[in-house]
Formats: sequence, C-alpha cells, structure tokens
Amino acid sequence: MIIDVHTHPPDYHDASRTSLTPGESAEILLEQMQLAKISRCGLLGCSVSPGQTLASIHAVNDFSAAIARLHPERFFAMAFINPNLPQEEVESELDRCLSLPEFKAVKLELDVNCRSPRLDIVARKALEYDVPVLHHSWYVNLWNMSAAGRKHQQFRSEPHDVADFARRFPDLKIIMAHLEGSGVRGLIDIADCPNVWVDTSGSQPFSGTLEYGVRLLGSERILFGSDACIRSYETQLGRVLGSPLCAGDRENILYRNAATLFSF
Amino acid sequence: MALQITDTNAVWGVWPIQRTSFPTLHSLDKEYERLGIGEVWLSAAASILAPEPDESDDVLFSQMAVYPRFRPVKTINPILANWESALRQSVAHHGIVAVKLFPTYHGYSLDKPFVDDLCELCAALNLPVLIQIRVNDERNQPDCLQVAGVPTESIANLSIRHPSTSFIALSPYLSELDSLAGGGENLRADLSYLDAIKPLERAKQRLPISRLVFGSGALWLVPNAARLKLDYCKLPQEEIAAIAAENLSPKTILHD
Repeated sequence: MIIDVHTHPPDYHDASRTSLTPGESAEILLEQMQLAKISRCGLLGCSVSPGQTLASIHAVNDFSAAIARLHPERFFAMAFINPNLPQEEVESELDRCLSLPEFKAVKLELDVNCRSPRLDIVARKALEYDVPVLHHSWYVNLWNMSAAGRKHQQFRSEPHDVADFARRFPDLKIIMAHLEGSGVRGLIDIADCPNVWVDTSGSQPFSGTLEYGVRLLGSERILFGSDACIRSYETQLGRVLGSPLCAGDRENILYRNAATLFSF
Repeated sequence: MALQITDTNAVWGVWPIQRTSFPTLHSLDKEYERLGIGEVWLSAAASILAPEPDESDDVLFSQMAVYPRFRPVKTINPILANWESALRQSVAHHGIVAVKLFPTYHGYSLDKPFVDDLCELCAALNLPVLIQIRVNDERNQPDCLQVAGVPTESIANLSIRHPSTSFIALSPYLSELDSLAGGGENLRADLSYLDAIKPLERAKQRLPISRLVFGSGALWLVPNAARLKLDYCKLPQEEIAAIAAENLSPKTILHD
C-alpha cells in the first residue's frame, strides 16, 4: 500500500490540449496508480501558478473535490488558496472547502512568502479544522531562469521560511514539499521543527538525499510525494524504492506516516 | 526470457556537491544485479572536474576490472593537447566501450575543429561518443558550480557533420528530444531525465524507438527509477527490448 500526498491531476489532453472532465482526469490517474500500486492520492489542484483569483481557485478546488467524490477510497483533496486575496475571501474559500469531507489539507504555493502575516488566517483555519498545510519549498537557483521564471519565483518560500512558519504555529502540522528541491540545507533548516514533515517529491530522483533525511529527521517525518502528473511515478517512486533504506523506514515513508497524519 | 538491459549513462566516484547512495563499487554492482541490468557503461565522476581525466579514469578502470558488469568509458577533454594519445592508450590498455564528453564542464562548444577530429577518430576506432548534456538540475546547482546544459541543437548538428560516428545524448529533458530528432540516425538519446506521465510513450512521439537507449544517470540518480520506466511502459515488448539494449547492438552502434 502506498499513499501519495503530492499529486496534480491533469486537466487537459496532451495531444489535443482540450479540457478533461474530472472523471477523465481520474481515469488517467487511476491507470498510473495501478501500475505503481498507489492506493491513495492527495490532490493539490491542477493549476496552482501564482496570481490565481477567487474564481479560478474555486474551479481548481471544485475539480479536485469532484475527483475525490468520484473515488473517495482513492483520492482526497487539498484546498488550494492564494493568501494574497482579501482575507474574507481566503477565509470563506477555506471554510467552503474544509467543511467538505473530500478536503483533508490546505495547499500553498508561490503567491506569498510564508513568513508573511498573511498566512496567519490560513494557519488558524487549518488548526480550526485540524488539517495539515502542505507548502511548496525549494532552494531554487535562479541563474539559468528566464525573466518570466524569475518573476514566478519572486515570492517563493525556502525551507528556512517554512521553519519560521512552523515556529510561529507550533501546533500546526506542516508538510514541506520537495525533498530534492529543499536539499540537505533545507532538511537541516527544519530538523528542529517537529511539526514539519517533508515530502519526497522534487526534481529528478537524485541519490543520497533521502537517506540523509531519514538519518537527520527519522523516517517518521518523511512522506511519499510524486508531483505527478508533472512528474512520473517511475522516477518518483524509483527514488524511494531504489534508495538503500530498511523495510521499516520505507514503509513509514510510503504509507504509515501519511495514514497517521491524515487519519486513514 | 529476461530482458537484456545496458545502462549507457553511469558514473562512479565522489561528486563533491552531492551525497550519493551506494558507497562502494560492490554495492552498486549488487544494486544493478537486483535490478536485472547486466551491462553498465561506467566513467569516473572525478574525471569531470579534474585538471586532466586520465589519472582518475585509470584508478576506476583498475578497480572495476573485477566486475564484469561494468564496462569502461573514457572521459575525454579535447581541449587538452594530449587527448588523442590518452584515447589510444585507453583503447589499448582498458578496452573502453565508449568516449564521454562534458562540453560545458570543460568549456568548449561542439563546433570546434578538435571536436571534429575526435569524432573522426572515434568512428575509426568503432567507439560511440556519449555527450553528457547535464549532470544535475540547473535549479539546484550551488553558486560555485553553475553549468548550463549542452545545447541539443549543437549535438544534432554534430551528428549530421559526422554520419559515420555514433552519438548518444545523455540526460536530455523530454522537450529536448525535439531538437535531437533533427540530428542524424546516428544520434540516439538516453531516457534518464525523461520525467512525465508515460515517459517512454511520450518520448516515442518525439524520437523514433530506434534512437532511444536505456540510461540511468547513476550514480547521480538512483538506477531503480530508469528500470521502472521499462517496467511501467506499455510499449510492445520488441520496442522495450530495443530501448533496453538492442539499439546498441553492433549492427546499429559501433562497438562490439
């Protein structure tokens, strides 16, 4: 049994670029999940690029919820939110989503650096509904990036920012996304924050980082995340199956920790 | 019958900016055995950053001689005046199966005359030329080692200028297969950096199956990931077998 806490459902056909229905998107995911023996996926939303409006966020979250409703044993949703929106809109969207059984977490991306007090309302809502917050994180080097790429990243959060967020809200459960993007430095940043887990997604399946994470944090604080459908189960599951770990650590990462965190 | 797999994209040794799994050649050999990968073309990681590659190459080639799975790949830095003699000595003493180039690490472009000379010699020696496009994710590079990928158009152009030489572009992104497709039939690409849903099916849409080969990117990447690309793909078995090893057969690529 494997639980993937970091999945982006596809929302268009590769070939024709026409839109997919939630059912069609679910079928694509289910085919991949069957190949990789993934039992359950957490859906972060299709498009979570910066600057989403309340209307577009509604659409993203409704799409995730629809998939989770179709296959409640296989999918759960995470409520994507842009903390730059007016606070009443942030609050109402989180209430709308988190009061539904399909939603079991909040997802934050690149809109606001997580040291900002704009995240306080998000943290308070997550605590009120007792759900974790999954936050994008990466020590990204911008040197080779286009101007558009740099603009996209301007309010990004790095692991030391996630650590600050975790210390401000020590009772909040935080999943720091992207083990490989965070790297060794990022793992050290959050090592003394017991309310932070890290997911295994990010970049290619580089060797060495996962074992370091297990040694530093313990396997109890690491969750399997694939970043599918941006990335593939071949590479992202290969990272976990191909790293020299003991069976107990691998089971913690692939299943047990997520089952505990999300109460499955 | 078990699938025959040859890994064309692997290095061994210390890479100073990355922790790596498999601390000994023995442990790497065992991992390849577990994965059912019978042949691995291996070059020395230390040769990339060393002032000259021959010393670290020789150390690795002597260490790996007791592992039949590992086949030596010579790193050539053609800006060094002695590259030709170094290459000929490696052929004579170590039975190398390929030559590997790191153009952006060694600071030259593929349109230099010495690259043409090297390609002609490799054709004469029946040695494929492996061109390492990248060794890591550019976004994750430390400030002290920012190295761009090799422009794939320049690899395609090189393959057209040297139709008698076999080339393998190592570690292209999926999108870079489009420009590699503009190269000659003598240019292939490995699958180590193809990362999208149905990676091999998508790769086939961009590059003919006959021009795709298996590569893992080990020791930088865990080789298990590349193996899963073969296991999970739904291509016909003969196409999987072609990618896994048959596209490297003496009929289609030069070394025997």
